[in-house]
Amino acid sequence: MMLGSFFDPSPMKWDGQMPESMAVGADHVDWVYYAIYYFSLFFQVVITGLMFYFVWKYKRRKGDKLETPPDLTRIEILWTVLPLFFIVILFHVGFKGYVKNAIAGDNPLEIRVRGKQWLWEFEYPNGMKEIGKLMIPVGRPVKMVMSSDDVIHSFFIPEFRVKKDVVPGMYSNVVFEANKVGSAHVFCTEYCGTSHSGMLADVKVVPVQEFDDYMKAGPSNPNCPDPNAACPADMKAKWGEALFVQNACVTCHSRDGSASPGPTFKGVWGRHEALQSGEAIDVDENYVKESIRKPQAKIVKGFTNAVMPAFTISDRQIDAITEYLKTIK
Amino acid sequence: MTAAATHAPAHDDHPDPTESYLKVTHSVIPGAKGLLGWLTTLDHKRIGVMYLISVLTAFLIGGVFALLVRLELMSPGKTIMDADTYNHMFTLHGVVMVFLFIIPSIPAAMGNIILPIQLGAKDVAFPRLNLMSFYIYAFGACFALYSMINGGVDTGWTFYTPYSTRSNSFVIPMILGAFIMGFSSILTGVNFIATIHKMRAPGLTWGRLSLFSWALYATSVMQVLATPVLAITLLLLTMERAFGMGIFDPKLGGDPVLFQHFFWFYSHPAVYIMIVPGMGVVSELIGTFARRQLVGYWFIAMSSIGLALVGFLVWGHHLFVSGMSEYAAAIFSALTFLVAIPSGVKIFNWVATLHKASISLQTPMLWALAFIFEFTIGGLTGLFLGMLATDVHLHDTYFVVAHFHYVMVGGTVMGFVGGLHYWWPKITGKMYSEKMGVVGFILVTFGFNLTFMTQFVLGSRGMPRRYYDYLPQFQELHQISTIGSWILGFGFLVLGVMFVRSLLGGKPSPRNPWGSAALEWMTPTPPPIFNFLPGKEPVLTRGQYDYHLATDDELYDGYDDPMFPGREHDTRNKAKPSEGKAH
Ligand code: HEC
Ligand code: HEM
Ligand SMILES: [Cu+2]
Ligand SMILES: [Cu+2]
Repeated sequence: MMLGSFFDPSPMKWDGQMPESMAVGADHVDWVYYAIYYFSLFFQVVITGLMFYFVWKYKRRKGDKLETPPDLTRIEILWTVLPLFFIVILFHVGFKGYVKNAIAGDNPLEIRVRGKQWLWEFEYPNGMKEIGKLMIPVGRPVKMVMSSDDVIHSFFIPEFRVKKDVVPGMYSNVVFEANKVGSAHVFCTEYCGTSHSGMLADVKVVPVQEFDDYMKAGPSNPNCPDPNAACPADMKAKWGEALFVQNACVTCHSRDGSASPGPTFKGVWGRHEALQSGEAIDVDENYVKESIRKPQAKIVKGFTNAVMPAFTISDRQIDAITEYLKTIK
Repeated sequence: MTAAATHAPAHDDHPDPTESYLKVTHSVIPGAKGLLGWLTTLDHKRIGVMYLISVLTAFLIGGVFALLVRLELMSPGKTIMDADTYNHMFTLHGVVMVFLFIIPSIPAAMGNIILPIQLGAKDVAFPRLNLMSFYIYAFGACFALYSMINGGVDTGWTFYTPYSTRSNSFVIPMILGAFIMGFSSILTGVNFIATIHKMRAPGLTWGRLSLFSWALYATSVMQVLATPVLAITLLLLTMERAFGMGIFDPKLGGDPVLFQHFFWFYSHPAVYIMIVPGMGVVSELIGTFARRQLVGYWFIAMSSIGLALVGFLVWGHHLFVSGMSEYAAAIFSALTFLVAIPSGVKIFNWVATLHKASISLQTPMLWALAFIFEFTIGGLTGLFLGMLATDVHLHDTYFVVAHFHYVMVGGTVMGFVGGLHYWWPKITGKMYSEKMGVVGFILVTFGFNLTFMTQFVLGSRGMPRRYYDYLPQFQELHQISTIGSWILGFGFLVLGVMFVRSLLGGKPSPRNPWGSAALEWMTPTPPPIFNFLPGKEPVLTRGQYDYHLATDDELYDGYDDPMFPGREHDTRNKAKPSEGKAH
């Protein structure tokens, strides 16, 4: 804190102690933050300064007289009561900022958020779902309607200065209005198990036009933008790899043969897989599709600790992932 | 002790009352000696020493976990362990530090040793209960150890549901451990309250009570009132895990946020259970080393009580983003700010006491000054978290980690270590090397501030806590923090060596090495079995900090006193006529 200005190694050119401010209420929060910061700095310097001064000035010397302190009741009362005033002021500005950030603007865009161990799924008003990536139009109030499928998570976007727990069994909301185009992150800030720190999502704040276009087209293979043209396998696989990361498959499936909560995908294609039910199956297109859409249908032997969530991604995306799985040797 | 030498060998169940408590004891089994004499002792000082050994061991274990956690954070991704191991590590660190180390550290260990002597009493009110409390603590610690050996827990020390209901780690033994240790805490509290009410020496009015005793009194009240809530909460959690009763898990029809309310209803007061005794120690240190009556005695004493009361009303500040209504949040925020007042009052009074004082910078005082500096930072950064607007951003980030370490380590641990330096001669009868003490002090404070100052910035910039992995932009600050933790660890190592050397070959301590006017220094060092020599039981004619009333004999029986260089000091304790202030 005190050293805040000495350390500024951030490659993102953040100014001072707070991250870049990208939403409407954020500047107010920063204002409050710096107000208490300087208030605290002042007190810290006064208290420490006096302490060192006294220690230096009244260091024990021969012949010191041992006196009783004079009656300081007045000063005592002063420094008991005076802070009350500061406190009232501090409380007031803090509460104002909080309420400001808790009230949604008119006609907000509602986005459904589902937290699962360990990914964020976003559903837009048109039904489109995406995992690990959140598109936000700039200059429009947004309301996140959030729920959790398993344990408590917490939705945190530092750049917007918003945070709210995502609690199973209830809905919670976060509202904000982005005022700057750019990128940010969603972090999970309620500890939720193994990959808590991997429960991230990319936030893209884009102009309204770009947002609307994106909503219409849905996610498409950036390597083959035309959905009707043929797409070479390696281009599909490339997109598949991106999806694999974006959808947080990486948090459960290693690609180098190391142990992970789900089976490793090193050499998964065509593998003869023993199932929990005692049967066995060869990994092919249909099995992959089923594993993604209905993971509980066939459980790989020995993987009963972690539960793979069902993914509702499009067929084209599944194709791309399948194409990618073939390439992990 | 000359008297002891001329006595006939003491009768087994009537130990020589002039002999040091380290040599003889009275115990549950009459005549028990050696190790058995320690394990079955009824002497509060010996029980305190057993606590001391236990909490220091816990601090060592918790410290090793902390260093491993910090080492892992040296670089993003895997540095030395995988994510699951990391989650176990920080949980065990938190659990060990909170339940095994810091809660019993000052009250049960130091309080047991010092409180009855400061009251001029022979022992605590209920010596057998006191021994039982220790064994309950030890029993609870065994459960915790059992859980750790079997793989530990990965829920965080807060055991939030429904994660803790579903986690497949060894949650039940761990919470049973915490549950059992809670009883130890309650019983110690009851014992101390009774002792302070009933066992004070003649003349020791409430207004002459040492501030350490006041702090322990406030702490005991909190322990007695708050700990049962934790016990119930943990029991409910156990029932949910073991029998599938739906209390907190929404899948079973429970309410997960209810757990958080219950948990913090205990754990916020527990935060004051951890810090208030540290403040008590600091008041003693300032009194002794500033050699002056403390400014605002009643304000300091009552602020402890104030913290104990207000501390019960603010638990909701841990739930600002958990989905409480805006009104509830506003009320909890306002109440939280109230806590700042008693804390501030203490700091102002300590600093004011230094004014026109006669300050000696011996090692214990250094720790007290570090306490003031660091606790002020801890307290002021608490304002950021009590403010609703900023708390939303800072909650569950490294800012919080830094804040509570500034309070717990920068505050309580500094007070604990300072108290250990201060009372070490009283407890062991040995002096230690001041030089090593200063070196250790510098390393620890420098390392500590390096480790945790950086974390404030990390948190403000958005680095969440309990993260195994992090974005590259946070790496530099994490590395500085990790390097700080090595310096900190090394500093504690130096202190450990210093104390062990003192035990093995330290110079014997005079009766009153610091020239203190407090009652515990008026009796031989180390104290005899019933604290005061027979016939010398104290009758107080002045307060514990009345330096202007204390006689030269009472104060200057020490050595190294800059006010009287070259004064001849006796290095062996003699029962002086002034002892017990009974003149
Ligand atoms: C929460 C952890 C988790 C996540 C996230 C996850 N999986 Fe899984 N996955 C598992 C587990 C556990 C299994 C084994 C049990 C089973 O078959 O359901 C599994 C099995 C599979 C299988 C069958 C593998 C085999 O060797 O037979 C495929 C294919 C698969 N997952 C694909 C995916 C894809 C694609 C994604 C990302 C869209 C993904 N998984 C995300 C945990 C996860
Ligand atoms: C001695 C040096 C110490 C170091 C280097 C240290 C370091 C750490 C670190 C790195 C974390 C993990 C932060 C996170 O990821 O959330 C942590 C958590 C914690 N520490 Fe310490 N710590 C130290 C001492 C203490 C002490 C003395 C206490 C006593 C109360 C303490 C109490 C805690 C608690 C309660 C947690 C939270 C655990 C959790 O998140 O469940 N620490 N510490
Ligand atoms: Cu999480
Ligand atoms: Cu609290």
